[in-house]
Amino acid sequence: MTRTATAFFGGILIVLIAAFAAWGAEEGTGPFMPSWEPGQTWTLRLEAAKWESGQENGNGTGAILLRYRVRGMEEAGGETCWAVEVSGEGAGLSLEATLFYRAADFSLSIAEVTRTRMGETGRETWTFPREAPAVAKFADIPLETPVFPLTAPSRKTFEMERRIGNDLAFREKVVQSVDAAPGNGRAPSYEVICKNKDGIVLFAQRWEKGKPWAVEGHSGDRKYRMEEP
Amino acid sequence: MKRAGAVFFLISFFLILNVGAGQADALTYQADKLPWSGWWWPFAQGGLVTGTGYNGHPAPLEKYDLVTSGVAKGPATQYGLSAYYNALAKSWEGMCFCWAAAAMLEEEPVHRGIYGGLLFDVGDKKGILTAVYDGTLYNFYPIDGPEDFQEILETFIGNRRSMIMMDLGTDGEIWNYPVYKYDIDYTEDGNTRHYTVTIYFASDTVSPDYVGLRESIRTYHYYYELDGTVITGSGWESGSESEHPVSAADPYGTACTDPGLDYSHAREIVYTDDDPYEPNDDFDAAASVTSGGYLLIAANNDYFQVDLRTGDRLRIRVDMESPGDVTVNVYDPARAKIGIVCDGCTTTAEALMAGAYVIEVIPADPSAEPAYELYLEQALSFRGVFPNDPSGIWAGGVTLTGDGEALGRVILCQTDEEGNPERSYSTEVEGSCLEGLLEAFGLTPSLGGYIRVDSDRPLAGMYTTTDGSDLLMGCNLVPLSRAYREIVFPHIASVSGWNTYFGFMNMGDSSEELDLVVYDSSGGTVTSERWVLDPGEKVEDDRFTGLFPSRGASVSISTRSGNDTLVGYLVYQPPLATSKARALLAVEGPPASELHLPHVAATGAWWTGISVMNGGTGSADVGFSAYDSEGTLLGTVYRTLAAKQTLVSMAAYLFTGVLPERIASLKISGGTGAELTGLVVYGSRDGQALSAAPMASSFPGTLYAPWWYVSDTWWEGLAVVQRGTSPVTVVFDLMDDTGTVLRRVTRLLEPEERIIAMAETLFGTPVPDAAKIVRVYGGEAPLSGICIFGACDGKRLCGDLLPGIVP
Repeated sequence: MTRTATAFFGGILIVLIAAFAAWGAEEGTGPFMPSWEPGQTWTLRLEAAKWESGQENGNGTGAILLRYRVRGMEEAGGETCWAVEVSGEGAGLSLEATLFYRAADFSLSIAEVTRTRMGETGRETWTFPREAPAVAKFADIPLETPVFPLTAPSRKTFEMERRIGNDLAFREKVVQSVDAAPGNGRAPSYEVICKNKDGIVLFAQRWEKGKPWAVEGHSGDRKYRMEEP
Repeated sequence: MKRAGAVFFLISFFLILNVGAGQADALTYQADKLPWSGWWWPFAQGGLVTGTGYNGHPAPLEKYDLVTSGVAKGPATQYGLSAYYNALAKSWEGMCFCWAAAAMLEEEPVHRGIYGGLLFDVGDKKGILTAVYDGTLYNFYPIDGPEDFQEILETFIGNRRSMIMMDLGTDGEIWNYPVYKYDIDYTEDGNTRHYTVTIYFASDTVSPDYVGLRESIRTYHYYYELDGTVITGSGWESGSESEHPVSAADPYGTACTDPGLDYSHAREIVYTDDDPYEPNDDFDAAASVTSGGYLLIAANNDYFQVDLRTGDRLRIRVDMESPGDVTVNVYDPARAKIGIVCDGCTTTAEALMAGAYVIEVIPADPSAEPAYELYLEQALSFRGVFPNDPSGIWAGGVTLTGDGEALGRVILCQTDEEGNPERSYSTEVEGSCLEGLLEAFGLTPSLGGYIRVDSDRPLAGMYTTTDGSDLLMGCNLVPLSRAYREIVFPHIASVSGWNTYFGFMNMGDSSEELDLVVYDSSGGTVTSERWVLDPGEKVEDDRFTGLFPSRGASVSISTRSGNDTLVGYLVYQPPLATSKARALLAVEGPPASELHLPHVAATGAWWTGISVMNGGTGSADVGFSAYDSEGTLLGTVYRTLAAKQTLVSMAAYLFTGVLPERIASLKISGGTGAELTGLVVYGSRDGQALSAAPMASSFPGTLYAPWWYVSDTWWEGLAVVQRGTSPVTVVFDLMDDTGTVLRRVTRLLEPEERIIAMAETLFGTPVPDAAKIVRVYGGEAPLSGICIFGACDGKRLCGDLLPGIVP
């Protein structure tokens, strides 16, 4: 084999290695961020806790379908954001929301939620810092958002702040861990779990490549999963 | 003094400074809407389905079932029995969560209401709402520390100004309450803030009927350790260490778990207030009503009006929850007060002028919303009764006919067992007959009472009931003129698996003391009882109750007053293992010295049984004469019947040496003054078909078959015997509902000759679609006739004597 041939085949090998590496990053469990387009829609089946007196453990589930629609890029809070509309209703509750995700990193910036319950309407706005997972346990729709990009495996610690009273804050460390989830014949996916310092799970989600939002997850007693289109 | 003043100023200044640095002002936050108090329906009592701890039966879910499915133990209650009732439940287990959710999400029911003819108290309504919220959809928030507790209060009550449910139970018990308000205060001690928070919530230990919010409060203490404004530690203190809220829930709707409960229907019931006749608050707004029973609420003055014609009578009865709840006045069309009605009393208004008679109801305390029952019974010039209106899954049909003239006003009034009018159908009939299913008249389901028929003209008629597949029974209308001081049930079938129901009622206007005597087959008294029947009251008994003596063969019932007020009926039921058939016949008076049976069926397919009782006080030699279809006497046999003795036999068995098939009719004679009562039972030998009828003397006038049962699936047969002493031309008219004769058939009948034919054979086919009534007359000759109809599948049979029109 001549040097030229060696160089040629060596070049091919390098190209192949680089290509496989790129494929692994794209199709495997490398850094992942969702990808949206204006007009894109999906539906989340939200299974809230349901009280059943006759059951031994007193809990069943009741479902509300939440319809998501990417409205487009908009300015919100001084930043360029993806605006996502959410609507859903069921069992006496009607929900309308606009969620603003920072375009740069898909972190949740602002959530405006209008809730109508038994004819009474209330509107709330949450704002979230960029540098920590978004958690809003009192929201009627799941707002929890991990810090992107997701890399498996990874484990990061963030500090979050809860406001108590008019003048106090309660800070707690939150650990976001990401692991590759078994594909089971489907696209690569990521298991995201956020826990507080006591090990209590604040939320858990599974994100799947090619899907616009978490395909399933839970926070507290609330579970949700993305409906097949 | 100046110095003392300076010292006081300085002390005050430092005191103010100290308080200002260590304690903030207490703040109070409250939700915009407030919850309502209610009962927590403990599982150990199961009050939602048992009524225990509340008003007994019907319990709230039973009421729901009654108005939605017609039965108390319907699907909602069935589920509730398994889910909301557990006698072994822990003492604290119950429906607090569901009540709390309902109290947060639903408007409070604050008024009683009548829905579907049932009274729903506030407690019933709150109970139903509580059950509806078994299935509450909610967001759940654990309270792991004071931060969670305060954050939840601030988020929901402070910021959203909405309620939040909290579990305040301790020691593993769960006690959920809607919290709607809190006070928050704190003191500072160095780097520690000590909080005192008082929450306000609705109590659930009130009566189920409680209206409003009964406030409960609980105070909790906790502290924060601070680093500047950052909480670095926290904990419960000052008694709250082991007694503090466990969790919170934010309910937002329900996916009702009880499959028998429908959310929309439940709300319709819950938010139905007062009664369906509102607004009827003054004379001009009086609600038009007719005969029937009305369950009403006097949350304000109520006015009702009944249109009467001169000569009509209106009986008015009012039953109150407590005497004096309401004052009831009756006014004539000129608005002159003509009477008052007290609790439990009956007042009769005689219509001296035509027009609207008004009943005015004035509550003593409108805020108490007293319920009352108003019973109205409009009596016209003729009254009859169908004595048996069985409750259960029966469909009933009524046919009525007059003497060919327009019937005029007809009122069908269904009663309960006590004779109280429950519901009625009023109409003005221009034709000569009225027929239809009770359902079409809005008269079902039955309450097990009977049906009164009032009309402007004398009527004959029949009421048949069926389960739709196997059972059919019916009997003729009994005119009240046939009510009698003593009625006799000549045969109580009780052997070989047979059962007999017998019923009797007092059709008079006053209570009657009755003697009920049971006789054995020899006429000896087995037992006797004294009964008291209120006006209109009905009693039904049967062989299976265990009260009827085993040796009993017959029964007589008589009024001590001698008033002619009694009507009764018998229902025969063959062994259930072999047959579903039943046979009904009316029992009326008075007895007769001679009875006629126009048809004997003694063939390979049919049997005919007869029962004849000597109701007199002495023995009687009773002659039984059998005739063939041409009127030829086949034979006469005599039986001596002791007083009250009954002969029970297959008709053919009486006449030895006579071919059973030849016997067409019977004449039974006890001689002058005899008091005979008899009945006949026809049955198919396969046990599937059964029919019964009373025996009576022949009728010297026109007979009617007021029903027409000829179709592809039904057959009808007629048998008529001419009981005169010379040949007579008997006319059979087939008429429509206007009295128009569609077909006419005549037959010359010799004395005792019988004509028997299927109706379509008699009148020829095809029979006109408009056919409704058969009229039979033979001039002055007395006739005796019977009509029997049956389903072509052989399973159902029914019949009765052809009645005449009796005023």
